[in-house]
Amino acid sequence: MESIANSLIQSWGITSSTGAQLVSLLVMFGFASVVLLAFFLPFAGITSWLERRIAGRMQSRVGPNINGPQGFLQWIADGVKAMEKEDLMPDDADAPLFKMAPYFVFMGVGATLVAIPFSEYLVLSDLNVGIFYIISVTSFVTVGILLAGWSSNNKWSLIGGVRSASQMISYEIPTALSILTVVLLSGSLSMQDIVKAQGFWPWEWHISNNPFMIIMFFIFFISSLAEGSRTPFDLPEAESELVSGFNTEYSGIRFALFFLAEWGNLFVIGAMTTTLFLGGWQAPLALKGSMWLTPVQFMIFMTKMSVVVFIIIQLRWTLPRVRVDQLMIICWHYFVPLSLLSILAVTIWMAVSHGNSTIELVMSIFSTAIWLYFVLLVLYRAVRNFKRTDAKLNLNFLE
Amino acid sequence: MGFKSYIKNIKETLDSTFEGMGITLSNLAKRPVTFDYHSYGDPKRMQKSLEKAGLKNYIETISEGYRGILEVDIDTCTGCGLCERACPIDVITIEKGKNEDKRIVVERFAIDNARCMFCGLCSIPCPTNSIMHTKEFEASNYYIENLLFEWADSDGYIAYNAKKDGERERAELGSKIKDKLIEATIIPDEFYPKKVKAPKPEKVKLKAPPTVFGNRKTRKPVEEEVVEEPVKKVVEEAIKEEKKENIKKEVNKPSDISTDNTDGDKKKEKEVAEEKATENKDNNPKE
Repeated sequence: MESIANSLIQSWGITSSTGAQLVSLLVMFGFASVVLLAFFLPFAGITSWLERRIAGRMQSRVGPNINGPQGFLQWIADGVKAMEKEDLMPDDADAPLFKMAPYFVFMGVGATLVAIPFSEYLVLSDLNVGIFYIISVTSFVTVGILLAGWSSNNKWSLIGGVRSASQMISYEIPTALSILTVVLLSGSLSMQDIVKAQGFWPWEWHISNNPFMIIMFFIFFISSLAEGSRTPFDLPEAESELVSGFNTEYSGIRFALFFLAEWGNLFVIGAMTTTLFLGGWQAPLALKGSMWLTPVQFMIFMTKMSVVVFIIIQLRWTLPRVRVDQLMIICWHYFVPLSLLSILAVTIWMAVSHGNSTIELVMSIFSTAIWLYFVLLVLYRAVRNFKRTDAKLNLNFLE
Repeated sequence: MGFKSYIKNIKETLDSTFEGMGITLSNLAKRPVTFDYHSYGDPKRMQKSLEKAGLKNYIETISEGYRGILEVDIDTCTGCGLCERACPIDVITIEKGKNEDKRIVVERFAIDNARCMFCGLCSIPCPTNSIMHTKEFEASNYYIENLLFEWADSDGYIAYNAKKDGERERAELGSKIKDKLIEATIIPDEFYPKKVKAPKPEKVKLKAPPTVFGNRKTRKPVEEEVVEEPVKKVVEEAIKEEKKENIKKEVNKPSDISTDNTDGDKKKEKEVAEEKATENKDNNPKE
């Protein structure tokens, strides 16, 4: 990044050292934002369309299929519509906070992309505190949602905002604890080093290091859902209780920003889960040194990420929303003690198996078998549920 | 919370979540139940999506017991008026008279579908199932008057009497409504609605207005027609006289309102009572 910026500046003919530094920073910032937004906005939009199509299929209906081929351009239509709408603000709202809140949420989600490794060389900035940076930056989302809820001067919004704050503060503990085990295993906070500590094959991933890592995976996945306020933890914007929660009073482009952040968050959750537990961009060793390395790594990363995103979407259309007390019980009665226990177990296991590669391999194959059993269980139940009905097999998704 | 129930809760949560995920996954391999309703205006596209779903008609997708637009089979209508009374919002209006053969003739049977709320209360008391809900639901129209369905012709129809006419079966449900819908231009072309154009005013051939510069060829100024003054005066005078006469008539009219309030109230009460009595007589079937 820095070399690109410097070469650009040299071509413009700026020589003074302090000026050059400032301009180089600005250029880097601009370049990074353009690259990230060019990736982030279409991803969020396309995911919104995909989610609606998948949801439609899961509920035995079609979904958006009018605008463009198979309704693919629906997200552009939605975005343009949102931009054309009037930017309304309640009379008694706290104007500066009200206007600022969506940007906080959007920035909190967008800034995480800086540290996410797409491949071995495709990362905007390999921070040595990468995972720590991501945890702290996502706190902006809480601030934004709380601001939106408070400044709207609306009881539903306020309840939504406060719920969001309590939810995220609670769930940051199990998330951080589960990330801590990964950091223990890889010995680094840098996202690239975490990926490099894993391998291409499933038994080389962090999830299958030992059975307790599977528990940690579940805890991380579920509590990151809660942090991203996805169903079944979408209490801040519970439609049936709070109209639309913290974004009730918003309209126009600010409303669209909230939703862009929501679907962008899907990507962040998927990418984090992939990087921390599922081996990240790790490609087969045979590809080392070939020109296809980076594209293959990128494709592997995106595939794993899409699978996780698909599961998140599927969960949304499977589970009902939990109650507030249930939400807290799940966190404090189950996740926190379990994650503390797992950290202890992982550290003990690391001390026991230290330097003994055969025991490590046997254990990781054993725990790979465990999580593969869960995957096969879901697939088996899908087949069983399909056979219970007398429906015909139809895999034509293009309606 | 004991340790056993703690483990049991976790197990049940995982189990039910996996079961739910299995159900949603299995739904991915099924085709949607719905068909492309947006293509309703596009016959070819709709036919395609219906073929995909293995359906002949969009009516097939609607479940039994659906309450659509009301249909009346006048061949089995006894003219009892039970539906009219059952209707909570007075959508149905029935006017009856008597024939030369002393048989009840339903002169008017109107259902205002624009106000109907499809509650189904009218179809319950009907002794012959003459009035029933069909599965038709496309009732949007460019003119709200079109939704007032007159089921009786201008001459009316003789009410059905099982003793005199013999047993009759109700016509197939939905067989009569289509004509009405076509009549109301809701479904003009049997199945697919076309865009209904607003009736244009009849074209009156207007002569080209005379221009100031006259005819193009001759470039002569057109002579303006001058109305003769005496004619104008006569017309104006006549209008003035008429107005004066009207004003005089209004002043001379005797006032209808009686000064005594008590008498008036009594009269009104009597009138209301009489009206009620007559209504009851009309509504009661005499058979």
